[in-house]
Amino acid sequence: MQVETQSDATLLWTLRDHLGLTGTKYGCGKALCGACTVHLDGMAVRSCTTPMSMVTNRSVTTIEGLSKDNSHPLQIAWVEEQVPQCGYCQSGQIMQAAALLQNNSRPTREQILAQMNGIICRCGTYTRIVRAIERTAQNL
Amino acid sequence: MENAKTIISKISRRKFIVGAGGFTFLITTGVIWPKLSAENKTANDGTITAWVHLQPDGKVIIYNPAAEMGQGSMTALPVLIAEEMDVDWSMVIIENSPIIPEIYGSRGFRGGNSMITVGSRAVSGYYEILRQAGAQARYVLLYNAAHKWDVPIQELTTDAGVVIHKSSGRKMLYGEIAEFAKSPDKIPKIPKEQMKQPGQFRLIGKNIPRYDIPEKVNGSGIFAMDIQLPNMVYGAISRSPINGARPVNVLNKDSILEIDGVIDLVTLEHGVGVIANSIETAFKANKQLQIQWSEGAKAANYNSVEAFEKYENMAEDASIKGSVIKNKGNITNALQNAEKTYS
Repeated sequence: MQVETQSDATLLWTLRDHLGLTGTKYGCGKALCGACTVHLDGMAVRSCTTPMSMVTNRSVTTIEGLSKDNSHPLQIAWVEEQVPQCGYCQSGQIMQAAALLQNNSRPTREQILAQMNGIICRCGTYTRIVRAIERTAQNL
Repeated sequence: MENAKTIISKISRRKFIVGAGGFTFLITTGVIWPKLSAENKTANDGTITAWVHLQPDGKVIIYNPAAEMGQGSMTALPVLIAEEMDVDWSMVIIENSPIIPEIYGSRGFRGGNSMITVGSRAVSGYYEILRQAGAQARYVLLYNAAHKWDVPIQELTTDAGVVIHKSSGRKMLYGEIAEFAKSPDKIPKIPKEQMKQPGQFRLIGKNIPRYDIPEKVNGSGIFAMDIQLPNMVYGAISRSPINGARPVNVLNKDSILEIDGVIDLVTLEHGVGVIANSIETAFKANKQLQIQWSEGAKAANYNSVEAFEKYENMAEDASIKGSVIKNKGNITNALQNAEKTYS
């Protein structure tokens, strides 16, 4: 995919404003909250501080690309556990969790907490987030 | 206050209901209009409600009157209508209602009809009015089925999207009724004893999955920030670092305006706003603003750490008597009579 941006453009605003992929959210703009988390070559990164120069010729996956029809195991678990409250941070939460399960399909609770630490949910849905990840890992 | 006729023409202008087929339950306290195009009906001083649209395929669109993003009333309010209308919940489509308080407001809130969504009051504020609307919508369905079959309306019952005439064993789906439904001249207010009793509830009080969750796990849910309109411009505000300080001057105004994509600067009482053709540019310019703030703001000499210490000392000093704001019960007696105490 080709997209023309300013030289100092970040991945977040390129996704949202140039490509219309608004599922990735702006939270703090300083890589402190995790709402903007996407995958860069399978690794979870904060798109708000990722310059486009770092993205050239690499693969980016956003929440929209996780599955076509809400069928990713995490998305199914997220609905079953009724995780989101307002939902604003959940794209970032799910992308962060998806990166974890890609590398470790049987994470311990401690590993889940360590991986998800720093992805902030202002509604406080953390316990349901952990339950949904544990449920997914059990079913994988 | 607009009259009903004005309101109806406003609705048709806004075209908020799909034009294709079906039946919209447009209810006032005494009259129902079968279609939005029925503008020749006389205006009525009753409150019109237009929460439900029934499609021939049986799908029921319920217009949610509360602006709600996460506490669940977006699901809970349509449940109230669906319960009394006796709709099959899997056939319900929830859409947000347009902002027309005369039609979608609740009288449960202070003073007239309003559409405020505040203070955890949406469900309790709409509880009676939406159940009544659902019960009246069900009455219209029964009325039409009774005419079709030429049987007394009292002989009809419903069961999750179906009207049933028990003695003849006939059934009619709600969607079928939408094809030929006509409005009765008058819709009675349904008395409470004819509405469902709590033991008969199919939906109220049950764990209904929230309607808005699926769109919140795939990024398709639209938040205010996701709305993009043609030729939209974006604003970002630099607020004063001290409460009460006003912007006096932007020292680098010219160089900010030279940034590619910056459209204008706006001076506000509490800060300076940048208008730009993209949010990223607005943020970037915002960061570069050099603002001179007014001196002497009331909060300039306020130190929250010192204030906290002061309050802490006051709280610990038994000689300082606080002023009583509210007093209820007797704590000494309550403690003495307590079954268990924890310390």
